[in-house]
Amino acid sequence: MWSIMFIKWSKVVLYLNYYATTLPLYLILILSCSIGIVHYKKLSSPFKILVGFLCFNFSIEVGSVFGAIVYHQNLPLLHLYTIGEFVLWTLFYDRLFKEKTFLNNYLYWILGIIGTLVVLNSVFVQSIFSYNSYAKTLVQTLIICYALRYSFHFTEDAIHPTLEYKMLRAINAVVLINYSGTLFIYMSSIFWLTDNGAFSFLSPLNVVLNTIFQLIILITLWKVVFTHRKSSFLSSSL
Amino acid sequence: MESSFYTSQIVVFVIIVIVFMLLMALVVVLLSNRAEKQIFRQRMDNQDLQLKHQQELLERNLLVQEEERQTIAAQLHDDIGSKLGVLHLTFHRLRRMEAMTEQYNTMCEEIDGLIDKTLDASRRISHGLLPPTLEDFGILEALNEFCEGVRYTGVLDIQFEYNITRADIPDPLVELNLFRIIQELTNNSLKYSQATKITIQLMKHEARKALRYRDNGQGFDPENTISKGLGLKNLENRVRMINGISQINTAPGKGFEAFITF
Repeated sequence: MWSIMFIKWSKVVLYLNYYATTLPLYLILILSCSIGIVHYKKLSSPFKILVGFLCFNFSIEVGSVFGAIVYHQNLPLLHLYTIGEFVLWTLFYDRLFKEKTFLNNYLYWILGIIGTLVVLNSVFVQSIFSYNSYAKTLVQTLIICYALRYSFHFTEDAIHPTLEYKMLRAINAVVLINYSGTLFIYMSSIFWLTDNGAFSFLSPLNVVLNTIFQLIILITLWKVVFTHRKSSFLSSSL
Repeated sequence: MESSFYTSQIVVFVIIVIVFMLLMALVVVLLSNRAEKQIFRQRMDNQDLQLKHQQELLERNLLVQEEERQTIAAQLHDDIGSKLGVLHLTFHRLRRMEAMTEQYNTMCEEIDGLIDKTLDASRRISHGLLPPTLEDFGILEALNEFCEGVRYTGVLDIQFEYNITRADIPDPLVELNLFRIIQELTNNSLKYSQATKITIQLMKHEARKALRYRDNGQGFDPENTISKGLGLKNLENRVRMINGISQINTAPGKGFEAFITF
């Protein structure tokens, strides 16, 4: 009984406030992208890829709002986002692993095979005008695997951790938490897209998790850029 | 109504799974942090052990060095020195015999001079390796003698002040290490600092004893001294060997001061 009332209440409140809830996310993304672009040359390689991901994410978010208003359809962008997300996080973790891992050894194979599967899913299985839950689940699971591997990947940096190292560990933790949390939202998307009640609750939940995720990334980027600007880790070499 | 109930059940199920996944992720993050800290602690322990081992090796090295110096000094004094002494006496006896030629006399004088010089050199080397005064009369007398030697060179003025007695430093190893520390510091002042005055003080300091060494040389910036020379490292090891604590005060143009409590 209580859960029914809660759903009805959330349906009204969250539907009305959906765009209001996404506003902080956009602001955070704008700030992160601005900091990243302005200080791009000073950032180390993983952070440069992270900035690339943030800019890509922001472009997709803007495109999705535009698509929703003009064409009443923005799902093709989700297909594009899935590929971009997969490629950029794979490259990010490739730079993070200092010792040779499976990812470093088979980077191009992983990019090629998974990328092809995601494209094939969009072409033959789940059309670009529908939700790509299979591809999204696959990509999210892979990113969780990267994050899990990095969680127990300890290098010499752990002895004398630099600020960058600490921030990268924080990013990894937040990637793990965010992608684990949202994995089931995407897995159950087939159900909730057809059920308006579930949609109105799960979709804002996804926005909230994403906002927290982006906020923590912004904090780490801020710290890396502004706390130790003269430090050696802000190398210009890519 | 039925559809709404069905939706709510699914949503509750999905939320439970999401919460579960979030908790699992949090547990992984916490476990990873814990593992990282454990590895960090283990590596630090290993580093500490390695450092301790290195220090022990260095101390052992210094002790072996001292033992070797003692042996060489003893051999120089007892063996070579005594043999040179015998040679000197024998040669004098030879000279007292009837002179043969003027050339013979000149050569005798040359040989006599050489023997004298060799004897003097072996005595100096022997004393430098281990001053007999240190063993026989203690650190205070040895330092007085050492200062006399430095003063004799006329390079700088050296003062030695003390308010302790020999009984205050009963351990010969502490005496020897203190002497070596002062030797090292004086060498540094002579070589690098362009000092004109050195003051050495040995005194009682609260419940312990203290050595204060000061020169009025050019000093140096301790922050910019990236690698310490072997001399300063040896000094640190010697301070550690006498269970001492050293404090170095210096700055460019401000001279040098070492304060060692032991």
